[in-house]
Amino acid sequence: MKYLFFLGKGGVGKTTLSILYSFYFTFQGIDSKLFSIDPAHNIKDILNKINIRDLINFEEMDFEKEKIDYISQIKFQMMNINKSSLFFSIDHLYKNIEEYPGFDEYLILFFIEKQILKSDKNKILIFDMPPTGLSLRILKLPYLNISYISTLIKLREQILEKKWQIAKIEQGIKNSTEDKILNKLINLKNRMKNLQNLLLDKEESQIYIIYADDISKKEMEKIEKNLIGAGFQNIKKIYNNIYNRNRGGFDIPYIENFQEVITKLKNNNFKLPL
Amino acid sequence: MKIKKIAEYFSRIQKYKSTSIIKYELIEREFIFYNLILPNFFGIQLPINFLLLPILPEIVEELNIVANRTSGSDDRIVDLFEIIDL
Repeated sequence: MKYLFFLGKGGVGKTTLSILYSFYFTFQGIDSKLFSIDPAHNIKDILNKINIRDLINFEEMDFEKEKIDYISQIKFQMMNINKSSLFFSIDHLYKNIEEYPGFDEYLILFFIEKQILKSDKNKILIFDMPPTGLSLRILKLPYLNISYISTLIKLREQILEKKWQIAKIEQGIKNSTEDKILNKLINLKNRMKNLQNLLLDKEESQIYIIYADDISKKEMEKIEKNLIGAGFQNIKKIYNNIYNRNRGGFDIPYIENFQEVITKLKNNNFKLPL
Repeated sequence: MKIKKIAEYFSRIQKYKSTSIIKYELIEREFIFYNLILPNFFGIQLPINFLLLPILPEIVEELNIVANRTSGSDDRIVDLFEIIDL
């Protein structure tokens, strides 16, 4: 399996290029699926302009549906809480949950996780990512959570050790019953570790950062620096010649020329920067 | 018989001494742990950590046990829960 993430400043050609890749893989007979995980989708709008949209397999993330599913999942997990013993209003939490900072990040991260885990080994997944700030927060979430949860696990283990020591001295027994909180923390850490391993996989994960001018180049450098800091290795930078044709980059076509370019792509007369 | 009673008495003192140090260390660690984990569920001073939400039921269960602890005013965890009005 391979999964490609397309990042870059707004307007540099992320969506256009991710659609072209999707057509390319389809023409090569490779099973692929294109996902738009940008809250401001425009894949359908672009594909509506051409009449061969049914050739590729694509999905725009349904944010409303994903939100409802996720909130129901949280409510289910909270079912066993005795509300009268709660130190804050859980109803208040549900009411405002999607407004909290970080909600979209987790929603999108869990969506990416779901798509990778349920896909066949031979499939190629293409993710057209949201604006830079949001994309970076999503891709770095596992990395940040692992170090935070590790601290909580370490503290929890120390707490349990102290409890067991007291039980041993006072009652002469070593109370080594399983701790539900520690188990859940370990499970969450493992989930984040698995996800991070998938995202950082040398063979399977590939980041494409697109830029087209000096301003988007600066943003590209910021993205690259951030992702390298979080352990990402397979990062490719693609310069879009759209504004300056003398820099030796790649010509991401205008949507007006899309039909023609896709025909060329089908006939192997158009090369993508693979 | 008397020797046995004296031995028991000293043993109790020893147990009290050793457990009181460990209990102090336990409370200190619990204090740091709860200070780190509780803000994740409030969403007031810090954003909610959605990843940690599944642990909330167990945390609530434990908080009620700890809040009923009768260890006295030197228990910083009980003080902490009084602040958040548990």
